[in-house]
Amino acid sequence: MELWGATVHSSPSELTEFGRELLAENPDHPGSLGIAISEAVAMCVADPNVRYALGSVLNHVLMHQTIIGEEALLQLAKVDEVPDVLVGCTGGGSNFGGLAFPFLREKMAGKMNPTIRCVEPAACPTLTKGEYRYDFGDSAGMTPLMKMHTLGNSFVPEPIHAGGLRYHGMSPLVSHLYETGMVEAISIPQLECFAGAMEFARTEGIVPAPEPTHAIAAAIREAQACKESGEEKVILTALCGHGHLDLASYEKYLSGEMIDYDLPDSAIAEAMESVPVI
Amino acid sequence: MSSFVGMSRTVLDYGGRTMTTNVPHQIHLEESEMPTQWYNVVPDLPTAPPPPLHPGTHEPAGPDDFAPLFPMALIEQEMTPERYIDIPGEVLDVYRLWRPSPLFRAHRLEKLLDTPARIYYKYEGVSPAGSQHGV
Ligand SMILES: Cc1ncc(COP(=O)(O)O)c(C=O)c1O
Repeated sequence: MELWGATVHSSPSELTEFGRELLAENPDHPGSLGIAISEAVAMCVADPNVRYALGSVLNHVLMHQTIIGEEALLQLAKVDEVPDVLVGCTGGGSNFGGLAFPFLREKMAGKMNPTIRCVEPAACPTLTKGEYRYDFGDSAGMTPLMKMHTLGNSFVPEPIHAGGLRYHGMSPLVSHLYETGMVEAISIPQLECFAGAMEFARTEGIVPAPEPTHAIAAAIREAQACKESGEEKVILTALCGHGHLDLASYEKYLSGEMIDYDLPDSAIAEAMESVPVI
Repeated sequence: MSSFVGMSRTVLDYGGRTMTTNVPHQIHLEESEMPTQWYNVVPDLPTAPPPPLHPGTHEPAGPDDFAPLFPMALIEQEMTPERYIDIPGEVLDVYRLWRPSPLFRAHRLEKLLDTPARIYYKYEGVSPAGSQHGV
């Protein structure tokens, strides 16, 4: 990123009051997407010449990723295929929405009928265990309130390797689709995800980023169910990034050091206390 | 015109059996076939998603409430009633560094899983950054 001209700061950072507070409490703070967003927002508010290019969650970011699904629609049409199941990993919802929304348009128009499924980490199960409530998009409570599935803006997920999925909330748009039954959601623990990624790498060659290992594990579950039932389903998934920058995670997996985390309901209940009462 | 790499029939060895399929491993689009609009699903939904709220007043938040955070052009896209937005030319130029991205049929994974399912994956790791967060 610095090679391309950015200056990169690890969050929590010494640059904002919120970051300094968190570091004073815990110098080894693992950070979270909610905390990084708070720091970015603080910098925008402090300087009228600074604006935020968000990487997920909001409608416009998901819209920008729809070129993925539009291309996939054209590509599947070339081989006369129509998906029966579409699975994508969800952190803030952008790669999922990007692949899924053009297919959802076709589904709403009655042209196909795929099951559309979000896949999230068991350590950060926003859709499957969160509540659908108005909450802040960041951890310091600086953004407008958004109605979304949330584990509570103060929730700091365990340091799973899929860092891009460690977000307390979910895209309000994906949350609305889940709430209205237009998409499904499941959660998968990281060891199963990395086991699936190994099978994938050893057959297809590509080493997946830790985030889409969730989508791959879900595709494998679906393919195994087809083996049981004999159904010839067409499964479409988003391999939204490679894992060349995450080889240390694979080393942890291969050496047996990677663990699954329990997420006690009490941890969610505690973080939910940070959600404003509207 | 389709542009499959390996348009010739792919031959797979299924444990001694030989299976022939018409679907190649790679399914590509020409650069000229790259979509030029983004799709906004919101106006197509049967019910509108609940609006964001101002954290102080709890009233629906408008463009001004987002102005300290985001560029106005993005705020307009966030709230647009349009179903399609033209992708700006400068963005299309950058997309062309790697788009259209390939769709792959996971023949070899299917074989390992011994499944009758057909698995396709859309691969965004071809972007210079290595993921969908390419621009
Ligand atoms: C490769 C990859 N996939 C997925 C995600 C999760 O984000 P989203 O749910 O918006 O696609 C990230 C986020 O950093 C990522 O880097």
